[in-house]
Amino acid sequence: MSEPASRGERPDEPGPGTPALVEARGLSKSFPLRRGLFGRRTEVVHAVSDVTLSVRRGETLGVVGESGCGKSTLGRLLIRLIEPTAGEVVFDGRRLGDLSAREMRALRREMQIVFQDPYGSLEARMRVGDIVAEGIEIHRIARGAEKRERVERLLEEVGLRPEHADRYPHEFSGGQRQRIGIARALAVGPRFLVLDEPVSALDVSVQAQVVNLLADLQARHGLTYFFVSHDLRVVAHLSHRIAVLYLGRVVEIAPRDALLAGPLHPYARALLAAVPEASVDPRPAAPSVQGDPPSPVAPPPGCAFHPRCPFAEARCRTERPELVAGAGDRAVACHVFPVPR
Amino acid sequence: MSAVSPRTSGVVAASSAAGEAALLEVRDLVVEFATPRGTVRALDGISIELERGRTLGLVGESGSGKSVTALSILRLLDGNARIVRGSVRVDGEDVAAMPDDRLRELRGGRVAMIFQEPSTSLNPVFTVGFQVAEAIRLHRGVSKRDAWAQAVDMLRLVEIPDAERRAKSYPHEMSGGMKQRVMIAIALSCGPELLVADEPTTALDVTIQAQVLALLRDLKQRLGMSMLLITHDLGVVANEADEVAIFYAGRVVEKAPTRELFARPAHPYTAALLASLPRLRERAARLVAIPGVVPDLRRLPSGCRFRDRCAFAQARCATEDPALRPARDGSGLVACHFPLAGTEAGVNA
Repeated sequence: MSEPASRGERPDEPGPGTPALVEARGLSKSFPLRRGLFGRRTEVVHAVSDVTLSVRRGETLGVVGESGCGKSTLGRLLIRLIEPTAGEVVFDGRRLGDLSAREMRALRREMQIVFQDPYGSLEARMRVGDIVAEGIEIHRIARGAEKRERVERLLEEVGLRPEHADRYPHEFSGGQRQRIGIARALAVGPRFLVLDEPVSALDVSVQAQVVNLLADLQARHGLTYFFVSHDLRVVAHLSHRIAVLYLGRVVEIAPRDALLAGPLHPYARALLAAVPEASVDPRPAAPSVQGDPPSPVAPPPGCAFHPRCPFAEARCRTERPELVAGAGDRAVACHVFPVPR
Repeated sequence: MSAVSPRTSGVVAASSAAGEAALLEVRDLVVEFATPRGTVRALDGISIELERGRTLGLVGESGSGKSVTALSILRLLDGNARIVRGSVRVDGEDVAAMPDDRLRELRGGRVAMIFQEPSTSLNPVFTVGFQVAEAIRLHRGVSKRDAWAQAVDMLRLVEIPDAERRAKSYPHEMSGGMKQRVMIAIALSCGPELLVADEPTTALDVTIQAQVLALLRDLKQRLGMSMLLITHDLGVVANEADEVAIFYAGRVVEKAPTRELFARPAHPYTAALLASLPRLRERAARLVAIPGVVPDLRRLPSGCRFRDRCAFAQARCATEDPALRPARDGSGLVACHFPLAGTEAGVNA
């Protein structure tokens, strides 16, 4: 096996001084939702609300949160698969909103996405080689024998064989299809990958293979990852930093080790405490949360977490806490447990 | 990594001394499915026992047979499935030989079941209170009014806040976690002795999962039930099960008290699964992946089904199918010619 892709241990690891590759500035996205008889009543789902964060060059920023917290929407906003309602995305110093359609097309080479579903996300009637080659053609990177050679090299790089190029997706297992999806994303030579639940649909015994592959590819190509998952265990393994989302907002963002050792935000604490560790060792006691997350159609006033928070005070019900940065490269949005300065 | 232990003295899987008293006893169960591409043997000689008041975890990946085992217990298998051999006994009574009316009494009576997706099990056009009340009327033969009152009590029991009002809600007005609580209320409404829970929290968010698991744990204790907990997540059984059976390709490959299984996995598959999991509190530089894929049940390798993915396979593994036999000096059973010596964390060295 190749050298371990350890995190946060090597001196060349990305840290607070590393420049950002992708920045979200006050990013919001809401979707209209038709309700009522004949869909006449229109409500708005606030999927992502005023998110400001940066993804540093060469790092994996893990994003966790429960269904409806906006983590997948945020990933799609960052690569402009969808347009924000407010705010902007800056990629390598360029504001995506300012780019012409042609400039944006060219920039797409730099940013790619890998989806969760290795069954639905591959065109069933296309050969694997053609699926991987599509981006190469669109961006006129290579043609003919050179294209073929490039596709075969990509397949090998993700742990498949060159002759797999002539087969169809249904001939592959879930793990192999996810490798095809990764090869397709890598084909255009991106610097930034949004990984949207890339191992969630895989069998447990196969998950680790794909997780290791993603770590190897990052080390080899200096890739920057925005890693979205509901599974904190997987995120914790791959990430340098972790952002915790609740109802469309970042409630805490911190280096991986700091967050796992001592989450500050009560929601981050509850989330960590709820993770079922595959161990019979006693679990650290932590306050559990009651109830369900509220609807993103009508988020509660003040701190959106206050109805479920065991520590909520009077001001939490009226005043929304800002995400405040403090010592140790971390930021928290909480009145009760502010980040140490 | 320590060397593998010498072959354990060859005894065929011994049934426990308390075998007679087991609430659930599945013995040498073989189930086949007729498919367009031929017959598939989904279960190939499954034996499990569950004693009263205990929780047995069935853990495995897709196609391992854990859910088919659960469905067999209530004879809920699809029409293309056939029990080829073996028996399922609840309280000593053979389910396979039960007449239909007796079977109806068993289902939702002594044995109740909850599934992964509560939305598909609830009827969208009736209120949840009505659906709980119907289940109560079916089994307890009480009046509509009494059934409704008891339904509200059941909703309270599963800790649905404001149960009186929520009873009048329709399924689509409830969250996934609340719907699963309703399903649990329906399942428990007839005071079952055994609750079969098939991936009950897989579709739920992690904080909701923790709530539902805590509820099940509490109810099991209070009502003196037994539980068969089917899951792909070793993290879920670690905290919930007294005993765990590890399924692989239609077989049970290891069975042990939970603490023993996690501390000293004896089957290389169990050890590899544990080693492949990312962990929050102890970080491995690299995950120890299991090579290959879960095998196609139509094309199983000869001998041991895990051998082509096993780091310890030897010539014998290709020729001889290992039977379950005592492991770890008698604590549990393992189906392996070369069980691990049972060092801490198995192969994760």
